[in-house]
Amino acid sequence: MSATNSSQVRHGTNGQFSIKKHKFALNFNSRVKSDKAELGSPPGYVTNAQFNVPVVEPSDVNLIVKKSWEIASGPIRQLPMNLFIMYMAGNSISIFPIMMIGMLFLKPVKALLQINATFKLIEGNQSLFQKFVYLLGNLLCLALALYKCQSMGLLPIHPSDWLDFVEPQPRIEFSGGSLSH
Amino acid sequence: MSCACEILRIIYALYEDQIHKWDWRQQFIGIDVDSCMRSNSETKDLIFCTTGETNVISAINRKGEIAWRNIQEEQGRLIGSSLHKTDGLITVSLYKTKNGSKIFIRKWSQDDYGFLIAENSHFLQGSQNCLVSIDASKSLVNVLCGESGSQLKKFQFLVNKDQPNAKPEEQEWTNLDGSPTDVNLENDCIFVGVDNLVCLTSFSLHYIALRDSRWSNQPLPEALPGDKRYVLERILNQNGADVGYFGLKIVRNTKETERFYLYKVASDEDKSGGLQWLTTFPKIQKVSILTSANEPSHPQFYGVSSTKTGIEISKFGLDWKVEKSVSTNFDCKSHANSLHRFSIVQFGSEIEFIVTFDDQRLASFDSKGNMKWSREEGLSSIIWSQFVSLPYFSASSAKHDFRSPNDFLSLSSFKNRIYSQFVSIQEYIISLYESFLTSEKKTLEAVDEESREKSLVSDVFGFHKLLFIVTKRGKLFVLDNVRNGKIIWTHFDAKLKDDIIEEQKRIDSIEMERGRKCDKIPVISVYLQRHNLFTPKVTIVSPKGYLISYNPLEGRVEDSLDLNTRIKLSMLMHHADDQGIKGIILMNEADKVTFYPESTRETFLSHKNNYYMLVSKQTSEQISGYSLRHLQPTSPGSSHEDIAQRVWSLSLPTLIGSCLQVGWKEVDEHVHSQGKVLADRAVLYKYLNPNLVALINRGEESTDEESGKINVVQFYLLDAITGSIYYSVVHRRASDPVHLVHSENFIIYSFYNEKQRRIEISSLELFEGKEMPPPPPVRTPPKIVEHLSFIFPTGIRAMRETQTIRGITNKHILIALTSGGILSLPKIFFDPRRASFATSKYASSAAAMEEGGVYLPPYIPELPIPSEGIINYNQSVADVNHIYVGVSSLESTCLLFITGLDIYYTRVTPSKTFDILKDDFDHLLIIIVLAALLLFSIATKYLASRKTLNAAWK
Repeated sequence: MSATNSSQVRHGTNGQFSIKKHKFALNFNSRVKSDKAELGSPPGYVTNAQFNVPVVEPSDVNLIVKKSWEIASGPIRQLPMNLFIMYMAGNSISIFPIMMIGMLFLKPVKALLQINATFKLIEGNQSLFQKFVYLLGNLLCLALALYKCQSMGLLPIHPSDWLDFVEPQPRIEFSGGSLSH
Repeated sequence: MSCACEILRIIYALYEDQIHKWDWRQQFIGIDVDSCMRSNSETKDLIFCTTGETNVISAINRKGEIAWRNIQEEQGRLIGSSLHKTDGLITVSLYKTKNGSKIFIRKWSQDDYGFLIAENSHFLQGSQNCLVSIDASKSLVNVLCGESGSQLKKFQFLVNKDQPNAKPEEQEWTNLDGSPTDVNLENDCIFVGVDNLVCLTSFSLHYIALRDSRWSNQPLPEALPGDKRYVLERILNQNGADVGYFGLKIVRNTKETERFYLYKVASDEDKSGGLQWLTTFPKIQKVSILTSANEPSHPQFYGVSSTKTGIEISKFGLDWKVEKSVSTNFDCKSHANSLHRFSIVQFGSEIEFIVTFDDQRLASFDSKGNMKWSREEGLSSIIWSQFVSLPYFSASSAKHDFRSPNDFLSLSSFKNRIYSQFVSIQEYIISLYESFLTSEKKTLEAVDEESREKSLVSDVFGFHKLLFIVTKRGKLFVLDNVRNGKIIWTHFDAKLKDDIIEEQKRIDSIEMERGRKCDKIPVISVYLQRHNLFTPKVTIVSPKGYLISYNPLEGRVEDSLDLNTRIKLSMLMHHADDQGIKGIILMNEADKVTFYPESTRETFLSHKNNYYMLVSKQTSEQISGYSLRHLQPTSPGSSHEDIAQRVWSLSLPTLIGSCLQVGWKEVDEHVHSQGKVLADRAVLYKYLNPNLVALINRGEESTDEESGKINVVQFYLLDAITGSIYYSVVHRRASDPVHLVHSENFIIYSFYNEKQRRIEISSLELFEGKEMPPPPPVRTPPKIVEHLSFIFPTGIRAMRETQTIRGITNKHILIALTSGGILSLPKIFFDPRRASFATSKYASSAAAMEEGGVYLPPYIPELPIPSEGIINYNQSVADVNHIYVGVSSLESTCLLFITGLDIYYTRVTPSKTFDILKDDFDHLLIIIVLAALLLFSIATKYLASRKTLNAAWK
């Protein structure tokens, strides 16, 4: 049954057309009704087609790990370049170094916020380590940004940065007086 | 050529456009007018006025403006002036010290310029009292000096430009017969004519014609009860010449004249001799005579008397009856009606009376009694000034609602506040509407009396303030600081005037005895008792216990009180009572304490443990601290005396003729930053002890060397609570003038270095170190005291620091130079860390910037006087005595009022105007650009949405 169906499909678009083509019909009484009931599949559609599903092999697992490593080591690999850019930017506070610092901050912070989405991509037996490397890389980037801020003097780590918040001491004792002749 | 001139003129105008934009200056001729005379040249309508105490010779035109002014030695005193017919104006000044006196005789030209034609000076041994008589027609000046009536010396000078410094003819009398005892030549005697001396003792009138060398006396016209006394009065003619008349008047304690006896000194020909009584005028205070060249023997007599509503000028006929009299009325509460000097000037046939009142108002009246002009010369002798804030809307609309106690917690005051805001918005809208309707803006000067109150409204930035002023002659002024110093209110108080003059005389006599002049400290104290915008209250305390409370906004005396006791200390309390009034603590010589007003005693009692008072005399080395912590609440019926308790006393090393100077910080000073950021970004915390006092004592110290004595200046830092000295420095061979500035954590003082013969400025800064200071009850001395001295290239007359409302703005030090300039120099130049900074690794500005620190200019001993730092450009201010500082509501701006012979008001912005937009800021452009951007964004939004829709359809 399935063989006839498949042969039919191979020869014509529908039952009528195949009926027209065939000069001799062997069992057309019983088939016509059933043909009317269900239309043939659209062209190119195979209901029970058999595909060649590749078999997972051990060499492919290595690929997954490799890909995951790529994701995990991305932030660390950016580090030297960032270092170079920051070195070139200098410590003066002007618009471009500030923009660069901003970018430097933004990237790892963004990455850390989306860390769960990224972790889903990381698979394989080394995933735990890779996740750690990814986190470390981002943290290193952040550290680099902080270091740059510090060297530019943008971090409030000196007492002078908190001077404005020092409250004046309340006056408790009052004195006064004047000279007389 | 003319084209070039035109261009130059245009450029010149560019620079001059900001003159008097926000500053003004008023010039004066000084107080204590000696005489006023009309220029003898017929073409020039000038009136020459000479002033005694200020020692100024000036010419005033017929509008009452100064044509020229010559300022003589400040310490000197003008004792006589007279006008020569054609030659010039002769003046005599005396400069008195303990060891010697100097007479300056000068002759000035009578033209528009007042050139010095001839000058002569003479040195006298010892402190001398001198009287002068000038015979202008012969250019002869007779100066009679002596310490008593029996020892007299006469110097006759011939003022001639060909013989400068010609030796005078001297004549000496010793042991004169019948000389009156116990007379002071200056106070009790007058020189009449060329060589007649008349002295007054309590019993008789003494008289000597110097050519006779014999005293004779004459009984006084009548015996007087205790509250009245006799006063001798000179009578001069219109040229300031003495023609042989003098007056003797009876004065009551209240300065009212009862009778005026007119005398004539017999001339040489008249052998009957002696003094001749001519007539008696009732009520007349001053008499002046008009002599004409045609009839020298029949002078015309004019007398002036004060009435309840003004003054009355009378002309007397030959029979001494009043021939003609005119009276003029003015407000006698605002101005004095008692007279100081009276002179007559003649313009052709026109006669003008120049009257100087006791409050030093100089006024000119024509023969009908109309005032032609008047000058408030009292403003040249300001002893105290204070900026008083104005309310944000007119006081009249708020008058009834804002008298309630300003307790900020009660519902009613909250309602008041809301209401006041509502009223201010309403007034603002009305004013906007009005200015919209009246197209032409009223000029500020055109504001008349009725709208005076309306005009007393603060501007947005709080620049518009009132200047409350007390003068040496007991007159209170309230000036408008933006309308060129327009006088808003005046008030004259005769009692205050007498107190000030008496105290000044006392100080002078003490100084004369000690032979050393101390810096002038104000003889009165003034306190702003109530800060309320609508009802400010200023209280004046005189040293004799006379108190006046004045409302400067309404020009009303609220209260006056005479305690009849000598006040040795007055102090404003820091805590206000529920009426918003800060009490004044007054302590008399017996340490008895009173409170003013009495009700503030209750407020004081709740804080009594925390109040300390520092008491010292200017001329002693003893300093003591007093406390009132034992004060008990009053129970009715118990009569007790609040005696202050001495908690500490300190005696500084003894100096001969010491003069003490005390420098407190401003009471309500705001210090924004609690520390100083160093170049390595560490913090040096400031030492901000509010009870720290800077003391300077100066005098002579005896040394072991042969030279004997040297002048020293001693500097101390003292804690006023405990009396402990935290720091001290002695400058040997240094002397006055000493000026002191004490603010925040720095002290700057200047002195004269006698060894190097230069003015030096010493600067101190006090720090707690790099650790946070402990909280207040713990008292620690400053851990770090930085001290550095600088050389200042010129003399200093006054020094002050700028003050701003929150203390964020950098400080500048304002220095009044002897040349008349006011220098504003950044505080950074006085930084004592400049020397150590120069050797640090941050010494270059680039290095300091690199480290984010503050750059200090490297140390150079001389302080610069940059010409752009002279804030009064070409408006020189003569003889500056004091710089008063006020704050505006704008943080960047500090208001200045400089007083001296001239007064000058301006404002300074030490850190530039960082908190307001620049004048040339283009509001229109910004609005257009913003509006355009907004439109663009709306349009693009619309276009973008249409585009996406279209794309979806495709």
